[in-house]
Amino acid sequence: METIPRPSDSGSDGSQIRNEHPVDLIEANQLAELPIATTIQGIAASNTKAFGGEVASALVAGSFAQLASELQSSKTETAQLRKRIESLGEDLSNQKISNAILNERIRSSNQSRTLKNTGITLGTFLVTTSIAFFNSPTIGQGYGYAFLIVGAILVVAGWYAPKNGGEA
Amino acid sequence: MIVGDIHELELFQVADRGVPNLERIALFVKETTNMGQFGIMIGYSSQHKSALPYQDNLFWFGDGVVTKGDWLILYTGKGTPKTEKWEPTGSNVYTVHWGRSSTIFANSYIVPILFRVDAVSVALPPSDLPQIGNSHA
Repeated sequence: METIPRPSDSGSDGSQIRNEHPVDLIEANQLAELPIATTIQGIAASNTKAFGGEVASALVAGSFAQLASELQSSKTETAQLRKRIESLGEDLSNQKISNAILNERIRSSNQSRTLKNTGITLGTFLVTTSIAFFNSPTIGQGYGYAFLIVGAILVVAGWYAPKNGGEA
Repeated sequence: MIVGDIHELELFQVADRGVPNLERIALFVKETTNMGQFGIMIGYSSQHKSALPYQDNLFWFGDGVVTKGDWLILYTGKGTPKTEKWEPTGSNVYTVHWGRSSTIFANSYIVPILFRVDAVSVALPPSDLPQIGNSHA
């Protein structure tokens, strides 16, 4: 197979958009129902004795026309159902993707919440401990400041850490 | 309906199917011919090399002679026709546009159908009589 050339300048104006569902495409109606039915009708019309007489010819031709019509209706219905299935399949696929994204966000959110709660608890403990250090004559105030700063950072981080979320 | 094969042109698969402004149909010219007798329809294909056309989806290339080895690239979007040289062979690459506001080939069942016109009949224009509804207030 030859390589299809890609023009350096396609000349496109860039206004085209993507069409996900080709709803504007309508299948053309076929003029004849089925070739075999047309053939049978033609034989019956031109040579009635071919099927055993006028009555039998009309009956055979009519039966074929009826069957052909029903077959055509079934084909049309099948085509419509096939399109519907394709559309539903696409919807299902999109929903699965959305579901997977949301599940991942829920899992991530749970982990994040646990981490934030731990940070707030630990921060509160450090702040409380720092007050005890300030009041203690034996332990230096340097430890008190260190515990206070680290504890405050943990508490504030636990409060204002960004949440995971948004649209799927 | 059974019709003959087209020997003058070779129709390739749709490139960049569903991609706006890039979706295109490529045709390779196998014999020097006038494109006025060819057109593209859109059809639904459920069998190999067979398709049923959709309603009201026809592109006519218009009169113009293309020579053996040339390429015709039909973009489905809007744009301006271009011509450039295809370096590997030195032949021409003609770029034409269908003018569709959205992409056509949303799934693999939708295919282009290249057709050749063998005969036409055009209805006579109406008589030169006063036309109803053409008066200006």
